[in-house]
Amino acid sequence: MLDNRFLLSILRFKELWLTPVVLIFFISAIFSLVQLRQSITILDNRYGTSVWSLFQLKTELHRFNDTLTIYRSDNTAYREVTARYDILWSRFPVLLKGIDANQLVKIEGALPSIQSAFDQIKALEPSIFTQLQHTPSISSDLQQKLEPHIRTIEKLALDNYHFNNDFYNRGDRRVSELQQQLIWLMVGLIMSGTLLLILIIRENRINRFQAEHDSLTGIPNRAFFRRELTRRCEGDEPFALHLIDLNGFKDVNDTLGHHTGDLLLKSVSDRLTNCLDQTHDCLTCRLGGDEFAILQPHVNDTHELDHIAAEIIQLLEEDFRVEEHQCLIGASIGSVQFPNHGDNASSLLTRADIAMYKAKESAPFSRHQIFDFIMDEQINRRQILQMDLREAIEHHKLHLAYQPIIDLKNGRPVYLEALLRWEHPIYGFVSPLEIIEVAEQHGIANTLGYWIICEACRQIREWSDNSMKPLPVAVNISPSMHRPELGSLINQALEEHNLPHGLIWIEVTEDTTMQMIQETQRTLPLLKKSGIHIALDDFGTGLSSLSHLQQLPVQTLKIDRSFIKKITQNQVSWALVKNMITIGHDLGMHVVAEGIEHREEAELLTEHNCDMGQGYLFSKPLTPEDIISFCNSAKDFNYLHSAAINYTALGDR
Amino acid sequence: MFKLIAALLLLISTAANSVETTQPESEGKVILTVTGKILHGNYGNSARFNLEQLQSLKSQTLKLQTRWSDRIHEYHGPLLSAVLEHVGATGNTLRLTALNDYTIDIERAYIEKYQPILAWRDDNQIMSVRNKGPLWLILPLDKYPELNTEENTGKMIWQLTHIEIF
Repeated sequence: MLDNRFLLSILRFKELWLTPVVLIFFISAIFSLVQLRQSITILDNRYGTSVWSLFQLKTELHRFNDTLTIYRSDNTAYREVTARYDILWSRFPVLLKGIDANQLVKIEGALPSIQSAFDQIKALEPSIFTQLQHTPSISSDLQQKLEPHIRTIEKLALDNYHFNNDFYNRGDRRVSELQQQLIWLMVGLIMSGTLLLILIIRENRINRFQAEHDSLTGIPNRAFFRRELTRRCEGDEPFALHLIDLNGFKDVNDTLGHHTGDLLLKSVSDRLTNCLDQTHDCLTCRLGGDEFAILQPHVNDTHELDHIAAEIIQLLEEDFRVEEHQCLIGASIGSVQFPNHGDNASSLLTRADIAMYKAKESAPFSRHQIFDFIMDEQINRRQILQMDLREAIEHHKLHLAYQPIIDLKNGRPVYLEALLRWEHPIYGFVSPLEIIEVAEQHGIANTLGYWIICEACRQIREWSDNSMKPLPVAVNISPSMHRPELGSLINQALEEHNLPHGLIWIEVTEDTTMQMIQETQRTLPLLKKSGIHIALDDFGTGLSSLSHLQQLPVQTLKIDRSFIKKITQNQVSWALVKNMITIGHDLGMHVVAEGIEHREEAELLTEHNCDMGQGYLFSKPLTPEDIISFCNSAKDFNYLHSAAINYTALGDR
Repeated sequence: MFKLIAALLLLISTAANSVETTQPESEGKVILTVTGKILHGNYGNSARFNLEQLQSLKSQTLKLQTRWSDRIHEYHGPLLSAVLEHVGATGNTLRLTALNDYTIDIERAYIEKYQPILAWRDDNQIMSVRNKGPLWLILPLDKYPELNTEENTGKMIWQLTHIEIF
């Protein structure tokens, strides 16, 4: 990229040398014009006929004089005398007027002499037209009168000739001088013109270079890459495209500053170009930010893709030293192969992007992912789902199923967990997890969450109207619903359905609370303040620390099904569950065991004071109608004959 | 040489005189003779014109200043092309000769392009020999600025009396 720096330095000092070049060009051009005009004027001045005219006058004087001589011996020539006289006469006005006269002004006494000769000729008129006709002998008198004028005109004609000749000569010299200068001016014109042309071409090249190269790293940019990709797609040669997103670059930028970030990007680009472009004939481009693209030519099978990708990861995982800082980054690489994964630039780019995002899921660990058409389907599915989900919420095509949570001491339902159900016209049953994911990704989680709350309220109202004792319903809250106004929203919904506060519970997952510590620490106390019961879902699978658990205003702890499943076989699981129950109780929480499917599990849990249970052993998720019959048929059943807990007291912890 | 031509001129003028004795003196005087490749001669193989005959041809008036004058003059006379048409000229080159033996050659195409006139009137005065008469070939210098060069103004022959076509 040395070339780039060179061009940039030229660019920087451009003004310094551009100004003189332009000046030389214009001065040369202006002077050439002036010189040319001067030359033309000089040549114009040469354009004079006074020499010719004066010699003509001299000739006509002689001719007239000769005719007079002839007439003396041959008196039939009288007509010729008058004809010659008239012609002679006609020569004078030519010299006394117009351009010839202007030229003769330059010779002293020329015009008066000519005028005086003319006057003499005029004075002869009476004699010629009267006396001479009868007395040819007077012609010698006339000739005598003419004689001095003939001499004068002869001399004048010669003087005029010499004068003009000198003038021409001088003019010639001057013209040749001017033309000498013109040669130099022309050299100036041509040279500065050539320089300007070179400059324009250079400027064009620099502009083109800048338009197609990244200013920070000097490697080809997105525009160049697009063009190159399109060009390669038009050929038959198979090639691979790797999209690279740096892992951990944002951290470097945030902690060490943009300057270091830029230097790191430069190092990355240097490492990639040095190792890949030079040894594997690849083309590395920077697409922007910390995203790079590499075009790998001559790729026949996916092993070659893996090979290069592995090399890229190895290159980038090796630590970078940037200004005394040690930076550790990694790479998420998405790869596609032409023509297997697409035959045009757009589809290849989109698919490489999809693969890259798949690889990014493993971040901060580096990963390489070759595109698979299944990914395309997943993306498509997400697209369709998000569009249909909006419609489904609007047209009440979503449903809630309810799974009872049973008091292990007496077998009676304590509360119900609302579970989202969506029968999609194409994909059939869509899992609640995927619905929430789609809703979160496309900004409809709030609408969805609010719909669930309202629907739950409506259902409780309906059950109450069917004289069923109202049970609290727990709804799952997705991350973006963690907003300060959530509590008042819930209570407002309850009020709108004429229901007392406290009938809607909230279930939050351990992961959500951990990932959004700040939000949950603000919203959960507010919820509690609004009298809303909070249950911590899937406990044991997440990353919560016990100290964090202590801070959360959670009243119910739900132990994840993965632990419960094994308690009858696996001693470790059972030990963990026992301890979880103890911790829950010690923190003043009620404990629910999720996913109970066997009687033995229920017995074991009841024996160890687990308060509540949920699972297929008791009931699968039910329709609202089935909930009524379930509640009506629920009998007291004590798994270990222990006393029933007072679930009405669950609200106060 | 000069004398030979002068004698020739004299011969022509006397010959013209002898023919025109039947015609009125002022009107009948021959002022232009056209010889050479022509189809319609009126005097043997040549065509002769007096002023009246020239006046009957398609004419034009040009207002312009020549390099031999200090002001604009109004020149009037037949178009040379009209004269050529009248005589049925078949040649492509014209040799024009003046009273003082000044001679110029003009191509037919040049005449067709610039349409010069044979002026016999200058500012309402019939042009005498003293004032470049009887005929002066006037180029439309005003209409075609490129004619203002020595090469072109040199073609503006005056005291024109003879055209030979070949």
